[in-house]
Amino acid sequence: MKMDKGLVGGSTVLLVLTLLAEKDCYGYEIIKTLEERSDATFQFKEGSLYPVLHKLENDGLVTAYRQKAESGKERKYYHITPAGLEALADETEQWNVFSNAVNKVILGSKLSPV
Amino acid sequence: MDREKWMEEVLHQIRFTPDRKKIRQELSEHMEDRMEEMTGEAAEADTEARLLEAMGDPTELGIQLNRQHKPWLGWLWMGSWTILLITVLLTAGILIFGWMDQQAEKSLTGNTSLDLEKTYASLSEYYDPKYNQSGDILYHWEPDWTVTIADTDITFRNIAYDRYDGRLVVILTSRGACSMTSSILEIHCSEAEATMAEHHTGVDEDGNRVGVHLITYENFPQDTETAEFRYDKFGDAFAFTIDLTTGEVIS
Repeated sequence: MKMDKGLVGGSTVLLVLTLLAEKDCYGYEIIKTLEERSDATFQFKEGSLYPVLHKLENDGLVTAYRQKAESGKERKYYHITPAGLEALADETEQWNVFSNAVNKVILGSKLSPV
Repeated sequence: MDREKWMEEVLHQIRFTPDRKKIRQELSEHMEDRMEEMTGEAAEADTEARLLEAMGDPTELGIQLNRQHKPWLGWLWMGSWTILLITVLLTAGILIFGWMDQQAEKSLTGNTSLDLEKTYASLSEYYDPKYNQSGDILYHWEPDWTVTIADTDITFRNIAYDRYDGRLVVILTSRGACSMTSSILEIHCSEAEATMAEHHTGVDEDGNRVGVHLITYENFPQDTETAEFRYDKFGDAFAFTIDLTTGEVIS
């Protein structure tokens, strides 16, 4: 599934906040991690991650700071806030409700593979 | 398109210019990291092109980013230079017109400095017997008669008859608050109508409003022996009679 436009909102926020809940990351790091973890299912137009991150910053769900990365170079790191963790919990809940409902429909279908 | 052009296209969409620097930095660093990875693999000729392809459409990205960077303020930012320029021009325009008005007012009401005696001397010179070679000036008196009207002193300095034009010329000086320009032609002579007045007004070195006024009475009978000058306006009045054969003020 290639997402390349209008990534604000939807499951992008869920994915980004999930990673930031584990550890602080910088933009490129987030892109790479999403790629790797999803077995390249998620492939972003890379620039488009930044409007998402900046919106999260504006909404107070994350904060940012500069720090030296493992490579030794300085990067802009993002850190999830308490409000961000709350939002993550909400998004996760919504996703679970959604995916459960989809699963129920699929599993309940006479055509679904067993 | 090269990397710099791509970047500029993105930043061009960011209306709030103070945020451009930080956005440039973050995107550059991202591209740096991606570039390193790409060149780590087989270095290909079109690496930069692939990089920019991976980054995405710059205009679209710029528009998305702009939404997160005070877009309303961004428009104001761009607009503010225009607003500032208009304000400056308006102020300059108002100041210039105000100055022009002031200058016009100055010349009208004579707020420039005036050397009273010098001006009087140059105006009365013509009637000075010294220069009366042709004999046109039949008589020339200096009554030096002063009257006060509305806080202003008026002194009748010069009364002369020009036989050539058949006119009587009166030169008087004024000093005081009243500018007198509108009142001078109201000084009526018993023998002839005042036809013209010439005013030189200004401010002397002490800040008093002063003036030299020349009144012409056309068709003044040459053989007049006495003449009365009368003024009556807004409750201020004076009158005097002068003997034109002796120059003496009679009453």
